[in-house]
Amino acid sequence: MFDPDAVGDPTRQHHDWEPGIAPSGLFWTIPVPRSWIKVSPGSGRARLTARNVPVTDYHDGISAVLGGGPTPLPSHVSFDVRWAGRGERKKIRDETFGFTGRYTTGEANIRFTASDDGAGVVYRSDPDGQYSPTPDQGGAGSPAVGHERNGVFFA
Amino acid sequence: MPRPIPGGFDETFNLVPDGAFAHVLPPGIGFEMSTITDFNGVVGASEIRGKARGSDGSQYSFDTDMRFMRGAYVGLDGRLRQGAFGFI
Repeated sequence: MFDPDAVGDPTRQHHDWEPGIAPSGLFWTIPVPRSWIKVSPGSGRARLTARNVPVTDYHDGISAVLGGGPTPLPSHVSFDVRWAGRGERKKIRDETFGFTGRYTTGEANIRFTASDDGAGVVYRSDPDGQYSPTPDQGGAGSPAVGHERNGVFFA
Repeated sequence: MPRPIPGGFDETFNLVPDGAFAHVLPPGIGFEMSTITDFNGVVGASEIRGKARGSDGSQYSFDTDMRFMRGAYVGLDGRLRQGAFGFI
């Protein structure tokens, strides 16, 4: 969470909720019940929902990755992410990074609440005006859903 | 538990295919979306920006990276497993 219109500026970030980095290096990734995920890979439609997930507020992304920031705070988040699909279908094979997949792009939106335990403030997303930034906007580009293989399954 | 992908960001935030400092790539089409290696399954990834409000009246802009992975993977113990994972 950044000051209005200051996304990407760590000096103007106030909250960064993540599940943490595992000792193995597994990055912000946690096991979840299968019921959290509803997906139709062919259409590109999917939904990821959860309520009251324990996470940590690292204050900002740099502190979350490198440490050394303000004291991390126990927190909880709830979210409902929806991938609309119905975009381009793409088959990708990347020999450098060692993965392959078939994907369908499409818009995505999110509803979330987040709060630091005991702080008494609940932060809530606005459903209006959401967008996925393009690389020219400093973002990752189009969301997508698909089937992916890597590691020993990349052949 | 699964193993992380070998690639990601190096310490100067360049993308590298192995030896990464942060084992994650951007959540958009064209990049490896899974953060789990030795993985074969369905994935979804998204970066979403927007506005948010605090119950105290504060206003913010947000930027989320949300993903899921569900399928087969080889765990840290070397065994083939099935699982579901969220990147939050």
